[in-house]
Amino acid sequence: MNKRFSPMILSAAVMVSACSSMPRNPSLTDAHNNYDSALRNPQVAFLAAPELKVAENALDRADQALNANESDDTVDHLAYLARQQAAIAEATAEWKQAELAVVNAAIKRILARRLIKTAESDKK
Amino acid sequence: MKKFYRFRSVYPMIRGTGAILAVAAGISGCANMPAPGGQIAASKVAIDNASNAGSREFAPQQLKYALRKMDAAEQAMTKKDYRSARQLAEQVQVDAQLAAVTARLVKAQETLLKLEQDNRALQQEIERNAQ
Repeated sequence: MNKRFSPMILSAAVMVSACSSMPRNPSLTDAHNNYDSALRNPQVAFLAAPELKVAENALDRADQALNANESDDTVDHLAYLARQQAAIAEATAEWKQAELAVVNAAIKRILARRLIKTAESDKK
Repeated sequence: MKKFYRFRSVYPMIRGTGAILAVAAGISGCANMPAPGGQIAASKVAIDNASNAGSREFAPQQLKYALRKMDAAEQAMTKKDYRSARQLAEQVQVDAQLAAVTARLVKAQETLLKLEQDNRALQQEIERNAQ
């Protein structure tokens, strides 16, 4: 009897201790994943550092709420804010990259037009 | 056994103080939850910014989402559910910010496509001229 049940008790004990030492909330896990992927993107660190910092602070607030055993509703809310801040950081970096590409293409267009104009005046 | 009985006699008392504490916390919670007028105002500014960034045209879904939450926040205000109103208002701010930056991104991408089209045509013209 004892032998049969001890592994179960042991695994239950492990599960309980794992749960109590690592409190988790699915939306907060989500927010962490989004923040981590923004952090791994070098363009975000380069072009959206302030936005990334805001996201980091929002994530800290959500983590603190979870560790302080605040209500699921509060943790979900703070996790949502953190997730959106991470998305804002990603989108900001993408937007700035696109604007840089716009400037680059606009300069190319000016040069191409000038090249064509000079070629035409040279012909005359 | 003795201990157990002592605990039992104390238990209703503990439960009583617990209830009183909970009620007190509830009352102080209400007293500490003022109407989030500032948050609502900040949300409206964020939505204006998103509109000005062209989200009506370039990020309509995200703007609509923020506007729907704004309505819910205002409804919570009229019901004096200030906790919900504050949370919704805070969410509107990030949703509207995301709508604004998404609109800027989409606008820049469209501009880029047009420029690249122009540049391809110009490049062909240059090549023709060189022949």
